Amino acid sequence: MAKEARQIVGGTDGKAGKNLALFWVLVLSGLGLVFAPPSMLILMAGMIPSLVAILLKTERTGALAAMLAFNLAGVIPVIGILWERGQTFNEAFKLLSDVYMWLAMFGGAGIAVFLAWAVPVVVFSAYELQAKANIARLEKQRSKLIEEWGGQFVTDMKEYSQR
Amino acid sequence: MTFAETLDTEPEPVAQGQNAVLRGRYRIDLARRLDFLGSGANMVVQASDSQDPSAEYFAVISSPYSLLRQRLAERMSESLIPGMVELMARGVVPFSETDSRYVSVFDMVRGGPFFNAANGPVTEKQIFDQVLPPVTQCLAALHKVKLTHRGIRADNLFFADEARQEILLGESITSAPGADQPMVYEPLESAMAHPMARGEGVPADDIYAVGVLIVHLLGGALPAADMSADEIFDGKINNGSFAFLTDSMTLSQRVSDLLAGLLQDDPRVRWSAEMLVNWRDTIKDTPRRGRGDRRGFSKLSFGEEEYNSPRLLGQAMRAKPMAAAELLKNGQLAKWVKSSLRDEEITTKISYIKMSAAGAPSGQKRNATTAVAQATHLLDPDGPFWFDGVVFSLGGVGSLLLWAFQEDDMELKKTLSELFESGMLINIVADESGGGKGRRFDWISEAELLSCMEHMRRKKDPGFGLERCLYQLNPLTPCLSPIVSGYYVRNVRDFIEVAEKKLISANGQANPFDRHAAGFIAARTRGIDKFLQPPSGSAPGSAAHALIELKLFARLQSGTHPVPLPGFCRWAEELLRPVFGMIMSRLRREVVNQRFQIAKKSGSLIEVLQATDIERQLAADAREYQGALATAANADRMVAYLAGATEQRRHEAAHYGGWITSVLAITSLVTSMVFSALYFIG
Repeated sequence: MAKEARQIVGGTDGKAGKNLALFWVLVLSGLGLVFAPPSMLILMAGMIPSLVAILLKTERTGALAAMLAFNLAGVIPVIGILWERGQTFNEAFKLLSDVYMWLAMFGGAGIAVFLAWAVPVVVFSAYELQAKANIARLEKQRSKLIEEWGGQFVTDMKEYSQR
Repeated sequence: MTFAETLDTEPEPVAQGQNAVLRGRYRIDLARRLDFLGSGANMVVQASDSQDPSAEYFAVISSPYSLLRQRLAERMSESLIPGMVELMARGVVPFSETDSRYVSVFDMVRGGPFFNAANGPVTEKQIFDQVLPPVTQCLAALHKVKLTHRGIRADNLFFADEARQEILLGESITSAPGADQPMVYEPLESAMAHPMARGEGVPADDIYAVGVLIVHLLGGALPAADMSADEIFDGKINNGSFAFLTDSMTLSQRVSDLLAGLLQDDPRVRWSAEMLVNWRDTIKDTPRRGRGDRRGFSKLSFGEEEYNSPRLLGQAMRAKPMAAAELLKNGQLAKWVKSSLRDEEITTKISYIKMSAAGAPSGQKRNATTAVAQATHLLDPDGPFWFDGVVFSLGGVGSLLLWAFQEDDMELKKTLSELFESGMLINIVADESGGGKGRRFDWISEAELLSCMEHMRRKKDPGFGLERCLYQLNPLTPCLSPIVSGYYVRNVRDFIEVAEKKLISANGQANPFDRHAAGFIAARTRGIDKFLQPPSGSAPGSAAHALIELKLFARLQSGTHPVPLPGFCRWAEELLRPVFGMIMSRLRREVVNQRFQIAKKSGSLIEVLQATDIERQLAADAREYQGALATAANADRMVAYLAGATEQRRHEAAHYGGWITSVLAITSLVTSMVFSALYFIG
């Protein structure tokens, strides 16, 4: 009962947090559209992979966050270039027509996708290697014990294990 | 071949040198046997004196099962007993490397036996002039110091000289007291006892035997030779010994008077040795003749007979214990004792026995036996004690036990075990001592009976049981263990020496700790009982028992025989082999075995014990074994867990991978922001 209650409370908190984040995103987006529309254009175009990821509603929130971060990391230099050249729609379109800019923005997202797939695979492989090494070590220890304590040890060990 | 037979072998041929020589002087000649002097299991041979070639001796080679009458032998060694063969020397004689026997050397009776039934009766004159003087002198000397001869009979009279003038009584120190006496020579008090359990008796027993001896010599044949023991006993009780034994004889007045005094059935009225020496001067009136047993005023029907003699009734009850138990149970016995014998004390005691037997919860037969034993003892308090078919004088329990082992009589051993365990004898001896009658000096002591009861209580432990009682009650009996077979081992030091020789020759394969050896060592060594206490629950053959044996011999080696004992060390190796096998750790086993091999070379069992430190090693081994089991089981569990946790690892890898990716993402975001800021703004 208490657990259910905690889950309900937790669920409510999570929903409220999301709503709050969405609220701030909308506020900042609104402010951005009013005060820096070319930058917002670049931002929206560059963040398309992240929007797609959000719309796909993946369960892995960590991966989504990584996607957002990497994607944003790729978009920020493009916005920096826009601000350096003068913040106009003309410059914004120029930048959007440059394939390298798209590569920079979407490349970040690609890296995120790659890492989200590859890192767990690498970690799993490391875990497997470690487990195999541990099994080998334990079996060697067991063999040594049997060698030291004799054949009766195996029988006694089985009985001991069954207790 | 029984154990007794193994020990009763003939001595081996005599080797040259100091073999077969007693005290460096008396040479024992096994080839010249003197069977006319022999009796029982002992062997009699001729002996010579290296210091006096003209002297002639005979030597009695004792069987290990023969009882040696130490007090009498000591007296004979200290001073010459007149009228009795002279004891020259006694001691253990080695006959070969593997054979030693206890030998008693006596002055030779050169004239041979005095009495020969084939020669017919002995004249009255010969008896008074030749026989009575040495016999009375001997008895006077012995009785004065509260010793008894217990071997006065016709075939134990010898001519001391070749001229056949001087008569001597033969020896009686190399067999149980009264053991060689024909039953007719025994007074009513010991007549029905087992021949090996007649006990030292009292001086009056010797006097009685003198009376029977005279009848024997005058008649020229053993009195009542054609009668059974029961018939003789009945006859003596019904008629009185005098009347029974002299019924068909024509006696002179002086012989009749003499025999009346000697064959008096009441030992309190019977003549003493002193009276016998001077009887012609001191006895003025014709002595009162014995009348057998006292008579009740009425008869009690038991079985198919009627009895008014309590002794005969007791005898009949012993023959039919279950019927006797019924007689006791239905109260007829108590009623008869009260009305016919008019003895309130015995009536009360019998009533008490009846109530105790009726109230006992179990063991019907044993209760009946115990009740009958107590009741018959009350009917014949001076007579032998009966228990489950065994009849013995209270001073003869030790020799009876020795006999049981000699014959390997399992039934007798069982009965004696039950008797000691029951503690009944203690009650009887205590009762007799406290009843104002005074304890007979030849009886077994309460302390000995108590210790026997204790030994029987712990009969399963090594060093206790009937074997311990045997050596406790017979302090001069040599060890009867097979390990010392052929040797006359009388103390623990000798035991260790002999066992060491045997163990060396057997390469440690013999067992120096069988029940006889354990009982012997325990009985002959003070304060050794604590070394014989096995841990509770330990079974024979266990490490605990092996250690008890090893510790015991180590203690004996340090205490009584502190020389290297390589034979015992070899035996210890055999003994400890299974114990070492109990050490589970291969490494520890090898180390302990190595230490043992080094310590073994010293020949010291103590060093072996210290070096191996078996108890601690076993304890540590057991502890470590449990630890190893726990470790191995834990390892097994871990292996199983690791082998089956792939999915969990995958899940964890995904989780951890996600975390790493997130960190990398945040790092790259921050880096991008910082570098962008530095580049575009800065």
